[in-house]
Amino acid sequence: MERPLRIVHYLNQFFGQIGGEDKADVGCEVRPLPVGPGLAFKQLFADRAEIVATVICGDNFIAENLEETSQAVAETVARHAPDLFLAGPAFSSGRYGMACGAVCRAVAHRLRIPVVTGMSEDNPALAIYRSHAYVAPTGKSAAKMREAAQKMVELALDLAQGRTPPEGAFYAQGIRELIRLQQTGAVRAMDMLVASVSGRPFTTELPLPTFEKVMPAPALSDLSQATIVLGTEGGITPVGNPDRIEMAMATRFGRYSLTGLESMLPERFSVAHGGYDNRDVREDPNRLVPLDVIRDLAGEGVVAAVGEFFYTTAGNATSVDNATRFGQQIAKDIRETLGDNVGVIFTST
Amino acid sequence: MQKTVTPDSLARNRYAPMTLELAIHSIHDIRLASSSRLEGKILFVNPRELEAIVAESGRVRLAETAAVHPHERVRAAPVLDVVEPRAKEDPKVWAFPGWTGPPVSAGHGRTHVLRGTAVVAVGRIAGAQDAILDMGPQADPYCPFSRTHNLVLVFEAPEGLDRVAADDGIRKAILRVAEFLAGLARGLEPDRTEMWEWPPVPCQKPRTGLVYLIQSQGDLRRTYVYGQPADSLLPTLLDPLEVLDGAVVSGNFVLPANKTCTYIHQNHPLITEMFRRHSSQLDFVGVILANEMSRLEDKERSAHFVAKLARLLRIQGVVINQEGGGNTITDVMMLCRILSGLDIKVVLLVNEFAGSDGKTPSLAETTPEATAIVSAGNNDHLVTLPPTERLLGMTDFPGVEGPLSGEITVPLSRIYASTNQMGFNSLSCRSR
Repeated sequence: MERPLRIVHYLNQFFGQIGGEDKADVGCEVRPLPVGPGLAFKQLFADRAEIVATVICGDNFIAENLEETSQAVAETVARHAPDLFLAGPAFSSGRYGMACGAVCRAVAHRLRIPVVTGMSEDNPALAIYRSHAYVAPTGKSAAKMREAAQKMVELALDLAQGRTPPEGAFYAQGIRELIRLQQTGAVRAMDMLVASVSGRPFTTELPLPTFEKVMPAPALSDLSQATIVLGTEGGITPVGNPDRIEMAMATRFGRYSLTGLESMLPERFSVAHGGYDNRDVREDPNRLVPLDVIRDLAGEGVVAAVGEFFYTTAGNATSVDNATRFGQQIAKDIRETLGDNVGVIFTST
Repeated sequence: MQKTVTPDSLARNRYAPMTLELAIHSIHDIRLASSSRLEGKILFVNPRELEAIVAESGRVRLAETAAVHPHERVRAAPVLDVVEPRAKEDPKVWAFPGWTGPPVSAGHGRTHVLRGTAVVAVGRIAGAQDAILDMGPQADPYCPFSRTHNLVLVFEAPEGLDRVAADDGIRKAILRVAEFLAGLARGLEPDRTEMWEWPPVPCQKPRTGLVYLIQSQGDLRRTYVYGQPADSLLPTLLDPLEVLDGAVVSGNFVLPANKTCTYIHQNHPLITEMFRRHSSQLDFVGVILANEMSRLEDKERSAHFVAKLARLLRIQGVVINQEGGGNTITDVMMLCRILSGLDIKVVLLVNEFAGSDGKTPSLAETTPEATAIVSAGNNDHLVTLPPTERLLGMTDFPGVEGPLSGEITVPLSRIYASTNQMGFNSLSCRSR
């Protein structure tokens, strides 16, 4: 017989039996055994799979720094070399659902193993994470735990053993798959128009996507104490584009020194960006990276200092995944280099 | 004496419809030869004559001429434009008004068309995004110009020539070449003659039209109407026949899958399809040409102007195509919102940026009214093409490891006209 599948399971503080809302701030901890709903999973898996570790994290703790904490959870999960990852089920809880979704995404990204969670249809996290995890449909509350566990176990086993799960075993992921149709786009567009003006039903080929909401950071309380860092997605680089930043679909960003420069000199900088008319920017790069003005403001004491480097990439058909990674790396780099009290001015074209 | 205008006198003054005769010559082969001529279904081309035409256009040089055929293992890059050879029967009238001759109205008279062929301009212009044409059988679903007999012209610009001047020189040259080639058909009997008439006979079907979006947003991202850059164009009505007769020419070098090349303007897939449906399914009442503007305020002005023209035409339904991507989706969604608010049914034709795994939200902007969308495919989808036997143009390509002649894996957006948003190709996406 094959060895049992290795599973790591994620739970919040409540299902992890640490406590209720008053314990929602607890950080992550790992237990080398099934906990809470994990016991129901264990029973259903029998000898086919084994929960080798349970990661428990407070809902508020992870919500405060969702991306970073879920990356850290993925690190921890990786150390246990699992074949499968389970999270929740979260039922209709939005905050727990966000945590389960984000952790599933991080684990899938890092380990390329099947990730399974469970949510009810009205869970707001579903729209955001359904394409990043296999989400089994569940009831709205823990009263439906047994049924939810059954569904998640069946789904997980199908995925781990390479079977196609049956219709309805998980919410459609909305993954866009390229296809070639019999008719050209023009013929299909005209078919759709004729149906539409004649009041006949038709189906859109592209259901509107839902977007992840990014909360802006709180405003700086005192500009005169702040260091301001400049950046752009408008593709300004030192002449010669030393890091070969692609002018479309960029896979990298650059960080370049501003030391000794009072303003962005056109003979020192050029533009690698294929998505806008950059003649004006090449003539005066300050209009995209406003070093001249920010130096003036620093001189006047409006801001404390100017970061002695700027960040740049070409935001032209750049994938959301790459853009997200750039943002995380840039934020980390600024934090490590300059600490707190930093504001950024990033321009977009 | 005051002249009285009565409905009767107006009726007598009515213009007869315009008629465009397309004399279609089906070409089954292009061969390089010592003299240029059209014999039966074979187009013979003397590269020396083309070099002379290019030299006359000034500025750029023709480095290589190649005749390539459907599904040959040939790869060409970077492609700048593709043009269908066209010439007017009357040699004093020009096939590309504003380029090869004065900008007088196109869309009437007799035009020779070398169907099944295309002139492909290849050359490197700094700032033009690099495009691949692959003729191989595996590229067929992605690369519509793998199905035509292509005359590939590889251009070289002299060192130090300004990029806009080089672009201008190449465009003039290929349009002249396209006109020269089709001119070889003058006096010859075509395989068939298509008669196009505008306006068509009115009918009692829903009144529909096209919002024909073009992208003209500065150097190297231009579209020309009768030779004039459309950068500051107020939306205007076009006679669809002028579009089918060379009024709109591309000089747009955004992502190769996103742009509408001249060939597709000349064979506007939505105009021809709407003509086909006229009187049986709908009443084709007009084409509104509008530019996707760079600035938000200009986008708003343009969108409201389109809405006004649609209202004047009493339009009940439109198809809106996109050209480009990114900021241009704002024009598309703004138009969708405004026209839907006027109770006009709106169908959008756009491509997607869904990530190579298909998981990224496809559109940078949406509006709840956008419930009828035709997808032209996912630009980020990765395609692997086998090694090629012959490479035209450059040997290396940004984003491709190793030589361009080897096996390559590139996103669809790099493949010329693959996810064209005029509905020229047959790709789409489905959700799973």
